[in-house]
Amino acid sequence: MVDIETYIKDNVALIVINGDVDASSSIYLDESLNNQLTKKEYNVVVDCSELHYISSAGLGVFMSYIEEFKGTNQKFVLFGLSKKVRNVFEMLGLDQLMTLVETKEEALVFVNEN
Amino acid sequence: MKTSIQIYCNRKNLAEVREFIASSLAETPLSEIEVNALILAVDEVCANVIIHSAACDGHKKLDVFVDLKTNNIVFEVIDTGRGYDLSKHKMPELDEIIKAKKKGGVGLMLVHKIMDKIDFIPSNNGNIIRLIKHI
Repeated sequence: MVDIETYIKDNVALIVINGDVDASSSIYLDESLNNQLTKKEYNVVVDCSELHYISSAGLGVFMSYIEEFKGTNQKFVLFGLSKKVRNVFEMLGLDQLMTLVETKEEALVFVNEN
Repeated sequence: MKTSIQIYCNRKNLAEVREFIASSLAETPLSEIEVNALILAVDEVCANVIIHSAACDGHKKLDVFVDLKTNNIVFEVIDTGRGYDLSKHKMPELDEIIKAKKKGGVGLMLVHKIMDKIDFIPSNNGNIIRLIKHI
């Protein structure tokens, strides 16, 4: 089960994930990211501090938006990953291909950099 | 010690498998990160069986066995579908997946990174996918 909420403030869409993103729930993450891709208005900051588990279905969703958000010039950053969740990103080397930071503050600095 | 769980082939039941694996490994000296990786590998195999072998037929069942041995942990996923031979799966390149904006294809890559040995054993009573992790 996963609960995903999106909050808009200034130039940022903050997507907050709470729960597990697996083969049954990754569709909801996909919908949330796709909403922001369609709008093209906001930088995308994903709060992973309550993301308890992620499988390849969830990683696949994140991966599919790396190029998409580059194409729309929307900054895309994840923060607050637990050690075990970050380890899953690292197994595939995704930590080198995506921006993963520790805190919300760091994420907001990243989106406001030139 | 060998324990098992049986679920119907529905993606919504993957959480139940994960809870079962977590409780099976609770008494081992493995770290939280290691336990999560093993849970992930079994979850990925079950998701593949549900999607490919059982073709998301919620009436079919699959069994998951965990056998804690002295030097290794053996996980078995058994289903009666048409089978899915992991060893014949072609590993995609990560940057190709990203460029193609594909949303899948990395599950078995993770299983291979996590487990020490993966066997696919087809039989009349069901296909067995056996995962072995040395500890």
